[in-house]
Amino acid sequence: MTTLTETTQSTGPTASAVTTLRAHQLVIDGRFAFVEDWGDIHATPLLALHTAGQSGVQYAHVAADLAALGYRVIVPDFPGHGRSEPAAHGPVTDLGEYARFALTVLDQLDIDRFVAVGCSIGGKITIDLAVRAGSRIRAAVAMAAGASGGHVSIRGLTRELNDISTPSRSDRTYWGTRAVIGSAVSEERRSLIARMHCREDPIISNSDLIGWGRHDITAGLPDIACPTILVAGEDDLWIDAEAVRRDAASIPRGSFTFLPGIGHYPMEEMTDFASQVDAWVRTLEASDEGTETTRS
Amino acid sequence: MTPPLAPGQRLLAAAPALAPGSTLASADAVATALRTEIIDSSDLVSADVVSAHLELKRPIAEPLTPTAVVTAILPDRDAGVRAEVTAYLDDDTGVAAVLRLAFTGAVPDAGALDRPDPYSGLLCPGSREWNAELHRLLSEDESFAGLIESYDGTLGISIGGRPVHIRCYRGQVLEVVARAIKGADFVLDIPGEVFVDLMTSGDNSFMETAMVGKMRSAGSGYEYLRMTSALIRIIDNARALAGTAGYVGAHTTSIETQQVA
Repeated sequence: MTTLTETTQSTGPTASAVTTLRAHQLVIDGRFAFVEDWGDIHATPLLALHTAGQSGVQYAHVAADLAALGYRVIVPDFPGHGRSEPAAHGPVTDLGEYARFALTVLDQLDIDRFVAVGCSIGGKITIDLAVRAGSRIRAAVAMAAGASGGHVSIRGLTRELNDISTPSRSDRTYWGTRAVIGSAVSEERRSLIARMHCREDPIISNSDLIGWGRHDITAGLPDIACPTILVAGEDDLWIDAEAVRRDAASIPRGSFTFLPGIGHYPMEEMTDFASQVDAWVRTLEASDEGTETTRS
Repeated sequence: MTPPLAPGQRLLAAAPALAPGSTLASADAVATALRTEIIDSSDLVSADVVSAHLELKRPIAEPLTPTAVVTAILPDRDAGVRAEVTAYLDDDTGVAAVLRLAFTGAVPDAGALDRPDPYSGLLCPGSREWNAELHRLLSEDESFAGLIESYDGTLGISIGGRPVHIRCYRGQVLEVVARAIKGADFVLDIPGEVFVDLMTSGDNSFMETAMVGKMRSAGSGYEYLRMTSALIRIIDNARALAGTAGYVGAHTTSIETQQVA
């Protein structure tokens, strides 16, 4: 394990504290895995999982703020994403493999119990972790994801693994990303998020989406022991908020939160994301009862 | 003085719930109410139904409440006017059925009107006049020229059933017509009411509209995907056209400049 340490100034909208960022280059299944590690190493570990085709950079504006609020924020790049090398066997189409990868990251960093936050495939992986990690997971915040297989065309996505089948990929990523960003987000921010999302490997993105379509953990929901909150944005065209609400009701300590004016990427869209996550986690850890909230 | 009809104009805004009955009876009641409202609220002196198409989205649950929007207005050869209207039949959970109607109506003699040209062809997307104006706008749009720089082909859209073929070559728009000689590489079918929404939304919502399945493409899927940004730019230009032509709710009269690069 190689560990780089640097000190950075938060560029987030709310926090200005100087925050320590450590970067780990782990070796997992024979390949380098890149992991950001923000904040005090004795603080509550918070695992932050990114969306399909993207990387930990999606948390760049909020990780320092979360660290300032008392979390040790662990932000891995899944295999083939960001600065992590691709899996040895090729692009991953099983989100369960990413869940195992995330637990291995925590093992290598000697982290036992943790809070998980994830979005889209990261949200579904968060639910998966809530099922499989047992007592290790303290609380789970799954955003923009339900437990059942996502509504995508597996056949079409598989066809588009061949590059000749997928023209204007960057254009479509740009416009498609913009289309699922919430109405509360400024035009400048919307364009920046969409532009950043174009930094993807299309083969990896498509493989992730195949995993999104196939991965169904509905049967495991009643077995989730940790308090869990499922979060859906009002302007998220990728998910069915009512289905997510039903999934939350199937989790013994589950709750549901609806975000007006927010789309598919709360951690990139919400200016108060860190404080909101902190509030969710505190609420989850303090409450045994399922609740439903709408954020004003 | 009564105003002219225009695309985007909302009708049946204060309509009560429909009396219980068969779906066809409900459709007939809506057509009758629209006929009355068109005559009462516009300068048409008659409005006769000439076509009707009922699309059921799911099993109907009463009571149904109708709303409607004008999607196209077109002068016809007999100095009358064709008005196309889409009506929505809503139940408790949303739109249960969509009823698309066309009326023909007579306009008063020119002397009775206080304007020289009661209905411009620009009020009908896909008309000869609308196509010519779109051609002019696209030909003057350097951004659109860049998006079709490597394209030799014909983009097709169908708006409310009217085909619009945009023939392009190396950054130039050669023609915008109802039917290019060799047809279109693909055709994107946009229902009239969906096109009105695209013209009147706060921002160009082409991608959102495509993602929720309100438009369907046929022909070459490859070229359709390749032309994504060009199609968005066409909608930018159409929105500017709609704002200038007086579509109700269209507020963009200049071509927006949200671009990929």
